Amino acid sequence: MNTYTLKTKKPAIYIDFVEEVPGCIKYVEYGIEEEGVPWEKRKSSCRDAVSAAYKAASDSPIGIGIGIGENNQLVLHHQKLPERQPLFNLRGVSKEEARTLGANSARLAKRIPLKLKKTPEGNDCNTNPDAEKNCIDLSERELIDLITIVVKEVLKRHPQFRGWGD
Amino acid sequence: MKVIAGVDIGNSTTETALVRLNEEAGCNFIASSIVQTTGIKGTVENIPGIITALKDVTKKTGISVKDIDLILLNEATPVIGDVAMETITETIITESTMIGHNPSTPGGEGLGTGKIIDITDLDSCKDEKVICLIPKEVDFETAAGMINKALEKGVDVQGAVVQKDDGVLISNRIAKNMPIVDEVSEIHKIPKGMPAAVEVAQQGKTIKTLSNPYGIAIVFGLSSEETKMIVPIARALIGNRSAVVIKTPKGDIKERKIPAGSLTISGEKNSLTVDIQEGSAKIMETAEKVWPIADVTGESGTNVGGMLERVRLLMSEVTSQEISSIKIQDILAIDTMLPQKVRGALAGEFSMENGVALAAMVKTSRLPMEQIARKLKDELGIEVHIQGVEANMAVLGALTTPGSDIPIAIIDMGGGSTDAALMNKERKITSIHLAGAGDMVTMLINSELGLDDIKLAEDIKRYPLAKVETLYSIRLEDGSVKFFDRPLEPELFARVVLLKEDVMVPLPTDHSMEKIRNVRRRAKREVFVTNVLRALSKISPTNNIRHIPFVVMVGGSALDFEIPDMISDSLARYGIVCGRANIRGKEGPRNAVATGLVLSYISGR
Repeated sequence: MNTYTLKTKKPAIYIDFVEEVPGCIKYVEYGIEEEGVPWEKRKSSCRDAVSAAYKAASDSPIGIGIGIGENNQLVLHHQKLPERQPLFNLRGVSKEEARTLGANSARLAKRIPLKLKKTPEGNDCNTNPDAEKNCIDLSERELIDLITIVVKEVLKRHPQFRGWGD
Repeated sequence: MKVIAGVDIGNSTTETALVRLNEEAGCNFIASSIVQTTGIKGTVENIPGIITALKDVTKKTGISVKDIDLILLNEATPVIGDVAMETITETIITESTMIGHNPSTPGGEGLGTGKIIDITDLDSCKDEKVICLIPKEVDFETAAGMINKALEKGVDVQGAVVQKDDGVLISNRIAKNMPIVDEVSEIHKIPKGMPAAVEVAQQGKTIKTLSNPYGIAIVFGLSSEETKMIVPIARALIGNRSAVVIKTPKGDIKERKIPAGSLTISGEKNSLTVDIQEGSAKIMETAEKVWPIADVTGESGTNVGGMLERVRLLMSEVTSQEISSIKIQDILAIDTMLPQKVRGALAGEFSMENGVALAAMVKTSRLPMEQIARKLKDELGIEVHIQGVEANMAVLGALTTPGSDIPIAIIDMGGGSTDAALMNKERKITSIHLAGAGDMVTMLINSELGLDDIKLAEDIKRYPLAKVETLYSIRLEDGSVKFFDRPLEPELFARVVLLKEDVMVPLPTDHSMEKIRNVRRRAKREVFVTNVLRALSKISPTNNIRHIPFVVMVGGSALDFEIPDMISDSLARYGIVCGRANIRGKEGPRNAVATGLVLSYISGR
């Protein structure tokens, strides 16, 4: 469906949460409030925080979304970024970190420099904490894409299986 | 057939030009190279650099260093420059009396005055005007609750000073609009029980009352004598969006003039003394009066004295001459503003103080070039000649620039000194060396932007700026916008960056791109344009700059992205053709001396 819709929604950062209303959400809100930017909270239909953040950013009239997943996973996303490359993807955040992420989402909207930790102890920039542990963190969409690629590759190498999945 | 190498040892780089000399076919430049100079110019420590440069240049042509028949060295000009900075005013606040900083998000707006109390003491307050301090232990919700309770009780809470970044959060939760200044890290230093004023301006505006001495006078009911005393506070607060001023009984703020010392400039006939505090214009005027300068001494026991001694000491070490025989032959003074930490302030405030930047240049009779030549000959087993004086060689090299002709003047803008040489119609060469060049520009940028990082200042001098506007685009200095395929790092977002060879380096300062650009350009103009005009009028036979038709810029600074344009522009006013050299039509402004050495040898045979 490619119908053209007028964006009449009021400008705001969208916060989409995957679980029940998470505990850390209010600290995110404090961060945004202190910076003086409007925001809106929504229950997300996505299952993971990255997808939720991307959906929030896509829906937000100012293109900025925050996704909150289980175990205090916080993701800050911008509508112009690739879905799997959010600006920040933090796990097990503290109250302070949640507030900083909220502040940074607002600063992104205000186009002023972000608050970054003085000492780079990881987690503060585009780093995925799981990357080092060799875990894979994928959204449903990407998981489907990846499986499709793998299946196609297997089929290419083993032509005898052709036709099995059709 | 003979292979000849011209080697130019400069302050920062060693350059070579390699020539194949054929009796029938004439000379043929086959390669050139450029490497970092090792050691101080004119000392035997230069030899490793020279050898690297020779290896480099021979490698390019497929021969080895042993195949070189003759090495030509320049008689390096024995010039060393040094720079120093002097603050001539200082603001000292002996009792903590003000906070003037710019938290990004203060709360509320307006002006509030009252007695300073801790928020926990609000309960015991009656109907009086108070300003409460909120330390980091009290979170914003509790603080807002306490203020609301006090307001209901009739306490006139006029404003608040907060340690954490909670200004807006508190403001949004209290029943009354009041100015709230937050992010005051040293909140415990604020004296309680004293009358104080808090001001927060509207978004996009700056404070009006506390940055005005008469404004502060009204708030605290000051006498005219007392008003005079608070002028430095008002001045330090100009341009802020929020501020706090606290009146302490013994509060004593003063602007003190530091004895910066005086300079005695001696000419051939007379000598004049000038106080550093009189500023750069006066110093330069004095220098002109006694020109040519025979020596400059600084008042002993002052910073100026120390700086001039340091230059002398370094020069005497290099040349192994008596320190008393080292004479300073030029100085360049430039007025500057320096951000200095206000002593006694509460949030690390800076105040812009006046200062003078000073460059000095020392010239001695001769550098030990023979020593270098001998040692080089021993090490390589190749004949080494000292072919000629640097300035003359540079002119010969510069003349290979297509479109140039005599009479011609060259300008060599280096790190330590600005040199100029003129070749007249009779091919006679006069030259001059002036204090102040690239190092001075770096120093000015470093201090005026309050960087305290010479390497960073050097980079700001060298590379253009940009501002990261979105996750995918930057705006360059000239206003154009550049887009990227991949998102930029979050650290870069909304920051001013240096475009350093395809890498973007975020600057750790809050200065705007315009401010940094202005400081950089002003520093370059004040040093190089001033010195070029000074140098050209001094070497012009009539002392009139208009009588020089062609000016060619050589050396490292001629490669700068804006200095050549600034100079061409300022010289165009005098009807002078000025541009960047293009040695042998292909080397650009580099390699002038090395090329000149070989040309001089060939024509002298």
